[in-house]
Amino acid sequence: MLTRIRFGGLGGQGIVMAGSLLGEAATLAGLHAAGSNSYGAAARGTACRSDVVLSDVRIAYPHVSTADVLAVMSQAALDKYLPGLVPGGVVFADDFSLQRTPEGKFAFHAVPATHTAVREFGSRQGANIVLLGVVLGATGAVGRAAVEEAIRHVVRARFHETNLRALALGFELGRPLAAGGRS
Amino acid sequence: MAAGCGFYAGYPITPSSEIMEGMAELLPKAGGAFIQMEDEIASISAVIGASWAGAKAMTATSGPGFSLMMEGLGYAVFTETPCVIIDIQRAGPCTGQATRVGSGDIMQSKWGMHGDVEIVALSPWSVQEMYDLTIRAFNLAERLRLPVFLLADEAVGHLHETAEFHDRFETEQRVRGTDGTPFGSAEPGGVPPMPRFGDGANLLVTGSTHDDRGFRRVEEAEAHARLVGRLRRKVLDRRDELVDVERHELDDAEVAVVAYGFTARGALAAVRELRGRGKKVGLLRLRTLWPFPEREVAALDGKVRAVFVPEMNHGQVAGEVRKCFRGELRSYGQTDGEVIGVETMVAELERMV
Amino acid sequence: MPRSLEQYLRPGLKGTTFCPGCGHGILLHAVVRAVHELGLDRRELLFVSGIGCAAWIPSPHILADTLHTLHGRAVAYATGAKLANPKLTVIVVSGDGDLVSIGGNHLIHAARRGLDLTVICANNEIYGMTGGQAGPTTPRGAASATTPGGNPYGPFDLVRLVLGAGAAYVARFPVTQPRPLTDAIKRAIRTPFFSFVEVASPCPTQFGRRNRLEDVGALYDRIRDLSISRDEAFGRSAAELRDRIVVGEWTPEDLLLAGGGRVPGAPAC
Repeated sequence: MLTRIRFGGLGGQGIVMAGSLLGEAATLAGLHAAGSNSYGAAARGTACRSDVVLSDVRIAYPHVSTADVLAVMSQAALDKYLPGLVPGGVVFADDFSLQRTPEGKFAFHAVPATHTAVREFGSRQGANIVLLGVVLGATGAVGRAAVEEAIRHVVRARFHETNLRALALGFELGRPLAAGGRS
Repeated sequence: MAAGCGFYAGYPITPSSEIMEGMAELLPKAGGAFIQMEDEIASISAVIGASWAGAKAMTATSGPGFSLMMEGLGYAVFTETPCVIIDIQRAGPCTGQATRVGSGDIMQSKWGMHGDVEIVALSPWSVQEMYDLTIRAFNLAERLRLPVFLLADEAVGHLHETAEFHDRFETEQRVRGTDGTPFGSAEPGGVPPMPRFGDGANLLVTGSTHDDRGFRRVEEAEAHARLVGRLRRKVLDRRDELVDVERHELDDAEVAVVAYGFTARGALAAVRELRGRGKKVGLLRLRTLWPFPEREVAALDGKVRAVFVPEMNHGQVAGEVRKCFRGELRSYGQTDGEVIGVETMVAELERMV
Repeated sequence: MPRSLEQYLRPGLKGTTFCPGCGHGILLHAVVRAVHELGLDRRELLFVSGIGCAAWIPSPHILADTLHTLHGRAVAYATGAKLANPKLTVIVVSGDGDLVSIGGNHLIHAARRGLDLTVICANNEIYGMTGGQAGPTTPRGAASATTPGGNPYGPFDLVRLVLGAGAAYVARFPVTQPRPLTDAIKRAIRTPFFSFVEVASPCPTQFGRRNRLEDVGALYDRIRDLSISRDEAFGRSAAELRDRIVVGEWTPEDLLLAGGGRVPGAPAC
């Protein structure tokens, strides 16, 4: 089992946090994980990405040259990273900033990550965790309990409740998408 | 810290500052000393001073800072001062692309100091090896009384990865006694015991040519030749112990990749992909860069038809490979601040097999 | 040097390598005497020096741990050694070019940090070992190998520089006043923070020869005559104090008295 997941969006949307939580959760779940983020000026305001490789054996190559799963929070990130998706891959896009629905040999899911966060928490904060929950609910790459434990490890205590709730909402949104296809 | 590091001096520089920040938090809690110096020259100076005061000492830096440290590193070699320097290589020359990857410091680590020196440089390719090889670097530095370099690159330096911080290793303790000759050995490649300041040894430590006791001998040809000779033999006589390579799929290979650092990980992925298509390719991965694994590379001669050397510089290691391999050699240098892609290496190798 | 102090000298040395008339031998005597009078355990003494004539004052002459480092870097090496073993009494002895020109940044940062180091700067107003080039302390107008027409720039006032950078104790004395100099070195060593002693030490071979002060006696007379105590200097105009060597001791309180302006008693440069 080797899964390569790429998160993309804008600096400040919590893209790197989503990747870090996934990596931590995978490690807690007994998987091997490798992660790398866009680094430098690009991480402060413009496009940014966070790549995670998950495997049940030691990971030979830790970077994501082509992704199995792409989860994006901006149209720009979708446009930029879609060519790097494997044929038959899966795309999850936050519908809040989605302008065009792409066509191609992949499964595409527009998901209401930001809308859910705004509805539940009154702000966009937490949308990244909703999206993470969607990805994991749909792909089953890592179980929910491990992500919850990772949140308690990585995230500051005062954000635990919000993050755990956002994750649960994400899993609920993601589970029906597990069969694949378009939504 | 697992290796017993008790002193860190440094100056912030991208992309190595995370090491410094970690040490600032952890080292004082463990009873060690941390200090942010005014520049990299001061950092390596403080590291050397601390090492003579008895601490296992280190610093971390990147290209421009590494350049500034060169004079001090020569002092460490010449005064036989154990210390560890982690260089998270970035895209140079000059300020270059501070946040991007490169591996252009391979030659500088060996030839950046004036005069003839032998040093030890290790090349990690994973988070696990950042841990394991840092421990090895400290052990070698203490055993051989010299600066040991960990030549990592930004891609390895910023990799997040599952790793085990185990304690399954021996920790080298410095031999501290003295027979009055802390700078001399009866053996041509011997390492004398190293007293520390405060032990009552009345040490004379100097960067000038010195005799066994530390007295300056700046006009005696024989004294200089003997000292430089021993400092070189100290490393070269132990090359079998120092050189560390990995061989992957080389047994029946017709083409071998010779690679190191993060590039070697991509190279292994490329080799596996081509093996899947029945192509006879293999990988010789250099985990030690200095002393250069000449014998291990030379052993490819006659076994493989051609060698491919991908690097994030323009042939710094390929030139060394050329010295020991007489067959076809293809050097691939990429200096665009990006890692060399697996698909790039696959395409290059396909042209060779 | 009296017999009682010979125990501080490394056996087997046949005299110093200093030129005839050099002031550094007097400074060596003052340093050794200060250490002796303080009754310091020689095992816990570390002398650090850089490159230049003054760097040879401790190395190899003094029988204690000595670290003879690179040009300009003595204070940075000393910082590392002191942090790694705080029990050490760390004394840096080096020259003006070494400590203030190539090593100037290390000097001010060490003063800022306030670590317990004692820095003794032998100021001979010129680069001696490398052949008489101008340094950061060469007086305006003085001749040197690199200022044949006279130095167009003024010198650093080391007392103000180091005090301003945060030193806890600063003193300046010429080698022609060995007793106050020795006492100042003792006080500097006893100060548990960063302390600095500037020592006016004449260089007949380079400074004297190039500035028509060939007679060694005249060179010492010059240093003696230029010296003026901070009390005597107080209230005098900048013009009156030009080129004078204001001697004495200063602490951060002197900066407070000056209200951020001119330090009373400090020389104008």
